[in-house]
Amino acid sequence: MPNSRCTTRISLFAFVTLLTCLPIWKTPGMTAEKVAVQKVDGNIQWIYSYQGGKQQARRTGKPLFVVFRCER
Amino acid sequence: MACADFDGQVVRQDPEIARLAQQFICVRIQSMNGINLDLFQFEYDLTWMGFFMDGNDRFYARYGGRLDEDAESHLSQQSLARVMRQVIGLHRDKAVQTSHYESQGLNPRTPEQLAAMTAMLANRDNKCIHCHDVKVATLKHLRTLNRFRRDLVFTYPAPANIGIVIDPHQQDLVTRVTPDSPASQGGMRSGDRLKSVNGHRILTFADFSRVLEKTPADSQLAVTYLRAGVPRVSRLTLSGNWRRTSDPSWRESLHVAGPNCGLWGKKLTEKEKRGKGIPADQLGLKVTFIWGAHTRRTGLRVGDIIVSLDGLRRDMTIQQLHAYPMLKKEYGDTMPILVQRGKQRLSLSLRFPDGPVE
Repeated sequence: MPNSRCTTRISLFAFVTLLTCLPIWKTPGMTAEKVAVQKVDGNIQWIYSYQGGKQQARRTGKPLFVVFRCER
Repeated sequence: MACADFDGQVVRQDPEIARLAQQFICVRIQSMNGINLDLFQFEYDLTWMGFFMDGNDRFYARYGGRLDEDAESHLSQQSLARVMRQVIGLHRDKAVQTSHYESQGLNPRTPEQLAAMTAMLANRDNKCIHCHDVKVATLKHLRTLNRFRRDLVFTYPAPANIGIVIDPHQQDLVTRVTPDSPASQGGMRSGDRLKSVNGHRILTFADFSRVLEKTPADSQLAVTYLRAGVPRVSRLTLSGNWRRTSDPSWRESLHVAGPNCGLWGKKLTEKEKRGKGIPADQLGLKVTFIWGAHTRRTGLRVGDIIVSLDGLRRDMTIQQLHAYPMLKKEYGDTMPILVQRGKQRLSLSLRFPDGPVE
């Protein structure tokens, strides 16, 4: 994955490029730990998983509104 | 926590947002565990970020982002409702964002695969990966590779960095163009209605910020917009350090950038300052907790009032006090601090450790 062309040009590019170009990744990764959902109150019916939401979006034909919000 | 008002009162409670939300599948992601970082690339220092997408990992628009001085500068009921209505129309027309600035998520990576993440999580009871953890893990690993630069902290620049001040409530509207900025030199004016930047459709502050994040320091931007209803294009020339802002103290990832003061404190109120003979516009921070061994060695005590830092007396929040050495000092440097203890003023010398203390 390390790519010499990318690494030598780091000063020109943004953080997002680092995520794709530099050897910041290890493989294989840790298993994703399940973190308990904290359901929130309010008037919106939330789904707490992206994959679950995506399935519903495909089934219903509706667009997705995906919010990242740290509750902890 | 930042954005609590917007999230609790607008997103979750506002009846108009709720009505519009019925036309969406609403997903709320509370931790970054297992998230595909190739798909969801955003300002990980934020505490609230929204995306509008279809069911095939394609984007319509982004919503979120902030200016240094205000966590909710570009979060409002009016602008969120507006972009929701716009997205409903785009979805009906199947008009997803087609520019190369949005990822398609085809190379899935998760935060757990970031090389520095294992060590970061090892000492935590709660294995929740926060948004800022992603950026911190990335920067820490770059530091171990000797590839870290302080400028890497300044991610997702605001359009204001290149002179375009965007209306918080109609986020395709330019409310002001900063004199002598790239936008001004490119001929843009207040009242211009943004359409796209380098082919990337602009509905929001966050859409523009996404383009800037992926734009090299020295480059050209083609901004298309309407002026009095007439389409126009301006070519903006960017160069130098336009990503950097003056007060990044809100950024959680900043602590990777340099040494810290090793303390917590509370800014004195004006009344408290007056009682201690400190002018209202000058520094006055009461030390409430000392956690750095290097800080304890200075002789600093809980209850001391910091009135000068590195010769500076200007007023600061505790976050700004922390940010100062992180951006201005190197590990191993020494920094003078002047404190008020009772009626005494004491000059102390804070010597930072020789390297990061994990």
